[in-house]
Formats: sequence, C-alpha cells, structure tokens
Amino acid sequence: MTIRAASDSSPLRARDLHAGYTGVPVLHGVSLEAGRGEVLAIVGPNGSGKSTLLKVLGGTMRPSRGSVEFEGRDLHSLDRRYLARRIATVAQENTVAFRFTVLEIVLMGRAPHLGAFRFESRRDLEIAQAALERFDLLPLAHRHIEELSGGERKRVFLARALTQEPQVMLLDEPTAFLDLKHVVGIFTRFRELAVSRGLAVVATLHDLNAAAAYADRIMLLKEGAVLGYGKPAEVLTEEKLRLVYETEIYVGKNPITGALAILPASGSAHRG
Amino acid sequence: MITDATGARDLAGAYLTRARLTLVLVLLTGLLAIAMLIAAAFGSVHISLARAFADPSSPDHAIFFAARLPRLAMAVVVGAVLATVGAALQALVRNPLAEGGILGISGGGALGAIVALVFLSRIGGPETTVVPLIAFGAALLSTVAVYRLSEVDGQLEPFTLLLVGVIFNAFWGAAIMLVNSVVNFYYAHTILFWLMGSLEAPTWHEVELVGALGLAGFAALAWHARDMNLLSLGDEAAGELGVNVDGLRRLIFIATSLMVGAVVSVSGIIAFVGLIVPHVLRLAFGSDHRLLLPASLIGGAAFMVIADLIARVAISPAEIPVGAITALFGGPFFVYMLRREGGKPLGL
Repeated sequence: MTIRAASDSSPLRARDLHAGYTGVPVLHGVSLEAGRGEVLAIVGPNGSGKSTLLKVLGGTMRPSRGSVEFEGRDLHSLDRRYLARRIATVAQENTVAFRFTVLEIVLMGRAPHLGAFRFESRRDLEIAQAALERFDLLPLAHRHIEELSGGERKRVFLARALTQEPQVMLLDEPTAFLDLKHVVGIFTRFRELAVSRGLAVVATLHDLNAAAAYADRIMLLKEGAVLGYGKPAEVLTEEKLRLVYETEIYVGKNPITGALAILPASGSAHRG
Repeated sequence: MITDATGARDLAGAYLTRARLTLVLVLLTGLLAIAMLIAAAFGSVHISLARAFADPSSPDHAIFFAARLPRLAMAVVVGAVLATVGAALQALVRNPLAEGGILGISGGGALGAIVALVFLSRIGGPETTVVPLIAFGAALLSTVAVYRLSEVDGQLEPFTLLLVGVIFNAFWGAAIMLVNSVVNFYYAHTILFWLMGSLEAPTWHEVELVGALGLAGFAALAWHARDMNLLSLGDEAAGELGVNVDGLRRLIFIATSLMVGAVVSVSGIIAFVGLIVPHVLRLAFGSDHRLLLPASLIGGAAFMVIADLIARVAISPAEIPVGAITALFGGPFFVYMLRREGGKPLGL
C-alpha cells in the first residue's frame, strides 16, 4: 500500500485511525489525505467501516487511536463553528422535523458564518441561490422539503453543504437511491467544484463503476482495514476486488469513456 | 453569480427576512391588543370602562384595577410563557406533539409547588418567591428524567418520549392527589385549583415575578433560535453545522423548566396551549424559530386572554377553570394532530 507524502495540498489528513462503537472496533489503522482539487472515493462492502471513517473525518466521532488534522491542527482542538465553515458533511439519510422550504434548508448552510441574530445578507442569499442553481433546484426553492422525492431531497442537502463554502466535503453515499442520470450529474458537478474551487471531496460509494469513473483516488476498505489506496487502476484490480468482495469480478474498460468497468464474473443465470 | 433583481425576487417568500418577521409580529401584537381590549371590557360583572378611568372612587374603578387588570396581565404572561415553552420543547425533541403538560413537566412543577406551599406555610416561610423556585427544581428533574428515559442508544425515540411523558403526567397527578389526602382540608381547594389550572385572583407581585422569569427564559431561548432550526436536521447534522448540541439541549431543559415552574406556581397546570399555538403559527408563518418563538410569545398571550375570557363569562357568575377550557379545545386538537399525517402520526 502506498500513501502519498504529506503536502500542503491536503487540508485534511488522518493518521493510523482506530475507531469503533462500545465493544465493536470498526477501523483498524486507516491513514489518508484529502487533497485539494481531487475526489477521493472510499469503497468496500457493507460493514467495511466507510461511514464510520467519514464520521471520524468530520469530527462527530472521536478515534480511539490515531488523529485527524485539519491544516496541521488536531480536529478536536478546533472550534465547531470554525470547522463548520471549512468541512461540510452530507449524511446518507437526512430527515427534517417540521416544514421548511428548500431555500430555508439550503440557507442553513450559512449558519456557521452568521451570528445569533444576523439575518442572511444579500451575499448569503446569492451563495444559496448559486448552490440551488448548480443542483437544478431553483424551481423547487419555494417547495417544502417533505414534498420532494428522495433524489431531490438528496440534492437539497448537497446544495446546503455547498452553501457552507467548505474546503472539504464529506459525502456519505451521495448517489444512493438516485437514478443514473442524477448519479452522472452529481459526480460531474463535484468534479467541476473540486477543480474550480480547489475543494477536497471525500465520498463513500457502493458503486464501484462510479468510483472508477469519477474519483482521482480510491481507498478500498475491508473490515476496517485498507486493502488498497491510490489511483483507480492500481486499486480496482480483479485480484484485490476478489479478495474484498469474496466473489469473481471482471475489470474491463468502458469503451466510450475509457474508465474502468467493473462487473461481477460469477453467478449469472445466463452464463454459457 | 446571480445578482439581478428578478433572481432575488423569485426567492421572496421562501425564507425569513427581517421585513417578514416585523410584519408578522406587528400583526400578532395588533391581535393581542384587540383580544385584551375585549377581555378588559367583559366579565362576570358589567362595568363601564369610562367610569373606571374617570372616577377613582367608583366600584368600576376598583373592579377594573384590582381584579380585571392583574388577571388580564397574568393571562398574557402565562399564555406567552406556555406557548414559547411548547415551541422550544418541540424543537428539542423534534416533534410537534411535545408540550410541557404532555411531557409531565408541568405536573412535576405543580407537585413541587404544592409540597413547597404546604410545607412552607406550615413553618411560616416566604412562600411567594420560594414556591416558584422549588417548582422550577421539580420541573427540571421531571424534564431530565423524561428525556433520559426516552433515549434509546443515544437517540430520542418519539413514541417512547410520549409514553414516558404521559406516564409521568399521570404519576405526578397521583402524587398530588396523595398529598391532597394527607393534608388538612384547608388546602384541598388550592390543590384542586392547581390540577385544573386557573388564573383566579393573581397579585401584581405574582405577575411581576412570573413575567420576569418568563422574559429571562424567553431571551435565553430566542438567542438560540437559529440553532433550533439546525436541530431540526438532527443532532449530528446540527453539530456539523457548528451547534453545540449538548449545550443547547441543557439550555432548553433549564430555560423551559424555569418558565414552567414559574407559571405552574401561580396558575397550576394549563395544558395544550404550548401545543396549539406553535402549531397554528407554524402552519401560518413557517417553521423558522427566529419567527416562531416571538410569534408564540405574542400569540400565546392572545390565545390565553381569549381562553380566560371564555372561562370568566361562559357560565357567569360562576367560573370555569381556564385549564378546562384549553383542555376542551386541546384534547380534540391533539387527536387531530395524531391522525393528520396519515402514516406518520408523529409528524416525523
């Protein structure tokens, strides 16, 4: 396993993370760097520790060993609101109590930038509006959040995270339950954002093909340990994937985009 | 970047602006003023407001300034506090069915107040200031107990919360009846008054005390109105947006217990105000707590003034306890809210 040398281009850095819930260790010595301008995908089967890793990176969960640093400083020594202006997290599931409009939810991303009694300024509104536009939500701005479909809601929370104007974005399964068109749309947007704003994006993903197509680097987890960390072609090999997913897997190339294409290679009813 | 006027106009009405906040609060204040005028003019005894002001020696003057006005003021204070507490508790537990009475906080406070009153007057202590404080302590204990018992794996379980609240409510009620049966007959009426909730014969001192405690609690809550919005996204998401969730929770516990303790010690258990008022305001003006909290303050006052007017005049010259009026409205309302959202009876 190769771990890239520490450099100034990585705002978020984790070293030798161990973490878990009472009596159940989940992560075993995970180290990573989230680099500016790049998308890092964390892949692995269910229960491999993807979501736990994201929680530790976001600071909501403390590692039992190891450390997470933001710009060289320990995450847990930093002020909550300071962090919220720099790291934005979108959870896998998002529930909202009470009726809020889409715009109200997206504007909540400005909260870490505003004092207790400050109303959103024109600039705050413009930032929220730009985020709404980026996720095609402008026509839904007036709607109440509970009236939206699962995919639309997901985009609302991604837009809210963007409104925080963060340097690092932590996304837990950002495309779960979305149809293909929106999967492509969301990853294309995050690639653009990573490049244009120097944003570091870390996303857990079930979908290996999406990871292969859109991530600059991939971390492959199995039972909380790192089995591969690097460029897609180095990590998503048939040999490693077979080991992690315990099934035969074919890795080829998408003839149109040139990205890796990953398919299960056993168990088909139509074989032969 | 979209800076043109059309873009901004498109979004008007979809979020809370200072102008909308001001407009709604002015509107509600107008409503409260009208309600107060009507309530001041009517009562079980007919008086002339003109004579009350013109002639200080008239019975009209005496009734108006010694009986009707302090009672009106107390209705304003009690309604404002109860509705604000309801809105804050709903934000805390992320559930529109939470309220001081339903969660057993008022019952805990009432028991504290009754025990304090019986005990203090026996030793001749300074009851008026100490009773609210003991009610506050008991309400706080009750709140924390209900909250802790409703947590499953660190998550607040809405169904469990309502059940535990109902159980506590019944338990405190039973404890109050127990106290009732062991103390002498002199207290029996007072204790019944506490259980039913009434605004009968308040003193200006009581109005001032409850008003001051209520305002202090409201200020603490309103200061965190934006954080309460973020809490609607869940504890974890709120934390990721910079909210100190544990601190906020503690603040809401203490502030609401203080407010409920103060109110209960003068008016007994008046249920459902904290349920109805925030719910109606949320439907009308949206869920932003920067508006909902002050709107509940004013709207709750108006609601209570009207409820108390009905209590005073409905079967005049006899009087219905105002708690019975709010419960008569509130019971069906509670059922309606349980049924309203189809498959989502708790509105989650």
